[in-house]
Amino acid sequence: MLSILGWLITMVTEEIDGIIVVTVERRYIDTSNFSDFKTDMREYSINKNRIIMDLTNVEFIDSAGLGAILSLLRLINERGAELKICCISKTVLVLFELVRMNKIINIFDSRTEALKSFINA
Amino acid sequence: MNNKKYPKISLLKTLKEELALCSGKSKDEILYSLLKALLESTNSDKITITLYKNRTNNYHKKYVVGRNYNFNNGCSRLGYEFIKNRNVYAKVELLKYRKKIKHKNKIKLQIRESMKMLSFLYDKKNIEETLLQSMKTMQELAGSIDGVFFVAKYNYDKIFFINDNVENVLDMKRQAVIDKPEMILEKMNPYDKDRFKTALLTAIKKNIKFDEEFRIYLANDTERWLRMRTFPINKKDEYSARIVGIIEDIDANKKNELEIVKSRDYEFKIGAEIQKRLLLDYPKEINEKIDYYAYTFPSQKIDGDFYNIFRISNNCFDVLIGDVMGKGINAALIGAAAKSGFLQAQLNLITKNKMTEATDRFPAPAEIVTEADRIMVEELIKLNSFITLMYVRFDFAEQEITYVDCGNTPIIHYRRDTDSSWILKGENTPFGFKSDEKYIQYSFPFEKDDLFYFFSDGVSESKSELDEYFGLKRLQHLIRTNSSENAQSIIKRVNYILFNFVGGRGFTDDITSLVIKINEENKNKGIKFVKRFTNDIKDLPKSRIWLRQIFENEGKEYLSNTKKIDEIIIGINESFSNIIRHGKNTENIKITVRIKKSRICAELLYKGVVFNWLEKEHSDINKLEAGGYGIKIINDVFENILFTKDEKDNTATYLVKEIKGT
Repeated sequence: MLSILGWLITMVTEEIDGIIVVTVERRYIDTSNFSDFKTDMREYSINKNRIIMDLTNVEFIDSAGLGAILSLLRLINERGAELKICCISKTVLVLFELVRMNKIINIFDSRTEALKSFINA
Repeated sequence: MNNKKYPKISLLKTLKEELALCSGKSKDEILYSLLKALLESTNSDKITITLYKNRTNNYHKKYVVGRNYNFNNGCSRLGYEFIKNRNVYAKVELLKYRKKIKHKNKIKLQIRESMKMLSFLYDKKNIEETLLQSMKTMQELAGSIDGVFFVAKYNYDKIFFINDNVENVLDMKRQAVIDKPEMILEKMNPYDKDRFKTALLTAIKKNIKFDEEFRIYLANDTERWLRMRTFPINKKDEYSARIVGIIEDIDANKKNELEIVKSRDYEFKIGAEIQKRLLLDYPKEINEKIDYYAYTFPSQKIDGDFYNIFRISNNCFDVLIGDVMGKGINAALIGAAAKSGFLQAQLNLITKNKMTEATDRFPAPAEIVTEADRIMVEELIKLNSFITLMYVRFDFAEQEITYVDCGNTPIIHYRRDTDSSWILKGENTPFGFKSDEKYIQYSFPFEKDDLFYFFSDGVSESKSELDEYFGLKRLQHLIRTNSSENAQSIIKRVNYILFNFVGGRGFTDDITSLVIKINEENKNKGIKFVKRFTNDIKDLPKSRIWLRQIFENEGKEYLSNTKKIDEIIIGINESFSNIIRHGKNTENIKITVRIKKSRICAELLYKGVVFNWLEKEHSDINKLEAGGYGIKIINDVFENILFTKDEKDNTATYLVKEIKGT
């Protein structure tokens, strides 16, 4: 987790061509922090229609973290917006494969590919 | 007062005479007799008794006794009295023609006395009429009964009625029995007499039903089995208490019954022989790595308890223990067939797979039970029978037992490391409940000085004279406290406590026990890592770091597939997370990881209130639910998940991941 002047940074967002890219600045999303993660993500993705969740820094996600991502996805889907995920680690990929996450959300190896998929859509 | 005029004694005498004669007279006749006596004793000319339903109503019956004078010509009333007898009011009036009335009070007294006597007379008459009616009914009944029907005084010293069948059934003259009821006892077989007399006296004393069988000597010196049943009636007082009874000839039935008992004894002998030779026989030389002992104490009826031990190799043997539903020779034969069925199942699988005797290639317990199911279950269903059984493999190469539990009593596993007795059980239905059952096997590790206690339900379900079950907790305690003994001593100790507990009540089921104690452990069983974590959510990432270090260092030699490693870490993390989130009063969690060539085993052991998350449903990811994926992940990652508890409130979750060939 990033720390600047004593402040803990858990998310970094940037807007590229009207697409919000949220970089999760946590090493893991698990039982111990999934609730905070969910609150942060809701705040950053509110009223946004095209969102990319960049998981470059996330080394581990457990079922609680997975549940947080899925409940966020449901909220976004309900208002007709779209969420895509990119840059997942090997361990997170193993989890996603176990639960067949690719069936319900688009997952990209890189941020560029995720952005392209929005732009070309 | 003139005694002659008011002879109260003579009145009572008259009444008593009336009482003695009353059986043959009607109520009205008795009443008139009484009034006549009253008339004479009071020197009255006329007596009227007017009966009212109540005092205000008009009368509904009037009795008049006396000389037929003209009433209008001066008639004095000697006295009158209103008397209430039960629900009827009566006005009794004594009249005298042209006579000055004297002694009015005496006359009133006499009227009252008379009415009391009348009331008594009526009651007695009512009882006699009831008895007469009962007697008529009994006579009608007696005519339709094959046996002897009798009515006697409550203590049998007088027989009021006995039907003619007495001569055929008891081979005695009817009148002789009426004159001397005790004659029946005199002709009774001495072996039955004391029992009969004791039961009869108890029935008389307690005024209860009586039902006894006995033998009686006939005139031709043979004997006949009879059954006498009596029922007390009219228990109000000794005067009216009666016994009605039936004596039946049960000779033919009894002799058949005795024949059946004889043949059952024979069946018992055959069943016992089958049990001894076929069901409870097992190889005496198995493996020097274990100390074992088996014991069966047969109950009065043969159960279908059976067991067998199959030696597979120096490092491996299987134990089959089971109990066929029902008792007797059928259960024994089905048990013997089941033992043979399992041998056939092993053979079929070995032949089919062209296997050698190498331990790791021998069919797994679940495969063997499935094949045995294919061979036997249809037949069991046709026979309306089923078997509860446990098929267990002791594998010293893996240092694990693997078992399939088909509704059997659990295994008690004493663990030296926790110094406690654990319960190992499974989820399958009994063998023969339904065909094509999918059998699930479970694995659990063992170490040196651990022991396994197998037992039949006859042990845990034995009851004391106070109707208390011996129970599982008591067995767990006994196994733990005697765990340092050898296998035979442990069974002897359990039996000693069990037999004392049961006392004179005895056993209704076979008592079967089998102890297997681990003497040696495999030195090349892989590597083991143990670490304790607190019940704090902050320890969750620490546990992942610890696990990753194990797999990246010492474990690398056994497992290099990073995807498998990630899956194992994810799975153990989910299990740990569940304990932290749902386990209550948990202090710390001990994680043990055993890394072997063929598998990775993790045990999470903790104390506290149990939350069996394995029983929970898992969520469907397509519904985008916020939770409930952990259980699905654990189920998908591990081939074996076992949830078990010990007697000290410890809970263990045992997870196994096969890594062979990765």
